[in-house]
Amino acid sequence: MPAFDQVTSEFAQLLGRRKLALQATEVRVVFTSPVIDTPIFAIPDVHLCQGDAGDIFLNGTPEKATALAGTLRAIYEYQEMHPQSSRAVQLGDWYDIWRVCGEDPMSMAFGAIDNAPAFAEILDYDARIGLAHVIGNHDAGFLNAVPNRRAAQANYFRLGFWLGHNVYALHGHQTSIAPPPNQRFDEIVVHVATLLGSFIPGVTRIQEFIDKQQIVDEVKLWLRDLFTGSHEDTGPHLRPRDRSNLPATLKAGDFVVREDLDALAAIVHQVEQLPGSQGRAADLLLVGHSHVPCASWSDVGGRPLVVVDAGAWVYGQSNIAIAAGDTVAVFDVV
Amino acid sequence: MGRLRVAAHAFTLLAGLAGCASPRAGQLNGRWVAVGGPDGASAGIAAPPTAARPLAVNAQPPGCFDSATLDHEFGARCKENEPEAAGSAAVTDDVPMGNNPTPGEVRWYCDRRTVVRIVLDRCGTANQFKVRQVAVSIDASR
Repeated sequence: MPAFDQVTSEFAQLLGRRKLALQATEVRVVFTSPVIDTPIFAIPDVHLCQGDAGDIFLNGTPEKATALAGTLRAIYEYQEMHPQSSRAVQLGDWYDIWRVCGEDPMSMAFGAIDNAPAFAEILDYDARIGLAHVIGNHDAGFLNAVPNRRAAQANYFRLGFWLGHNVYALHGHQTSIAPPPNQRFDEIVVHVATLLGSFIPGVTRIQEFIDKQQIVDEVKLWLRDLFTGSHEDTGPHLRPRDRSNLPATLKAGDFVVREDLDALAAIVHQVEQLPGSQGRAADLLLVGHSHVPCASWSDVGGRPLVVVDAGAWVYGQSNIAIAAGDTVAVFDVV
Repeated sequence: MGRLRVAAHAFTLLAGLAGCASPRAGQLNGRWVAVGGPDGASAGIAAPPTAARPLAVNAQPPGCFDSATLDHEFGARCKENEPEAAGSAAVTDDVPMGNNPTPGEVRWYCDRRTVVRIVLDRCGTANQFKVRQVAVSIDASR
């Protein structure tokens, strides 16, 4: 199991070939023992639009595309240097179908993004890595159809992914709509987990999958809105410092109280109960969605779960989360 | 009368220009072609057509091209294309380890009358592709 410092050092060298560098942020969590069995590279919300003036990823600076392509290339090269020993995931909102296709995140007509010349190298490395994509609220169209260049790899697009024995990844928008009247989140969280863990794009359509669940209609409607409806990203959050004592599993970290923290933890603990999870239990949850990097922890399931929000690539941001051995941290790519 | 003859001549010239000159000659020799049939599919520069035999294509074996070459030769990708329906039967929800390049990809090219869908196989682990299937629709009414 390679140490965190070794992984980041090698990755930084690969970035350096493209005149890019890793810059530490405040988000760094150290566990008391190595819990991350294989190095993980996690790219948060990118929001590729059409490569034009309104593109919130490019933000008027073509260098953003060069930086993301360089970052993906470094991941590709790291994984070539260390075959079959690390994992790469993108945490959702890879495409911003919502912005490009008339505020319909379920649109499957995203050729303008597929074919934007500015993204050619990015999409080249996406295909060469075979990057796994968590499906977010701005690219919900991936629930029914994936980009042309990845059409042979629909199984690399899921609502949630395991990354080894004790790390899980989801986008983080699953708590953004209040439950239907007379329903508490903790009562219906099992249905959210079932969708996350059991819905496989291509095997069936999301609407058909929801319709087949043995649940009341109002919960079906809520699930449909939650996973396929149009909803804007959440705004900036005031996240107070978490000054509580660290649990025994954690050695160090600057923690905040993230919004919907316990609800996210509850979802993951429900996913753990699914047969497909094969007894795995998460110590670390990687999310995106809020665009603001942070670390927090919850013991809502009876054991501590660290939640790391990896940030985004929108506007002036260019974040990446790296996890290996006993440490997970978020960096700026500069 | 003379003025009328000049006017008629000018009309003929204009009509010829408006009709975008003469119809295109049927020539493939030396041009970029994609071929498909019982002998397989490929793309490259067409050899001279000979004796009603399948057209030979000159391409460096094994006929692999990078994305830029394919786009340059086939022309503009379709602004939109019908979705490639997801067809996964995989049940794993694990992010696989390492690089797992796409085994193949699909490209859609469009112009006014023609829609071309090309299925590509990746050449090993290189960033090059060879043509596996070509599907062409020509709308004669446009």
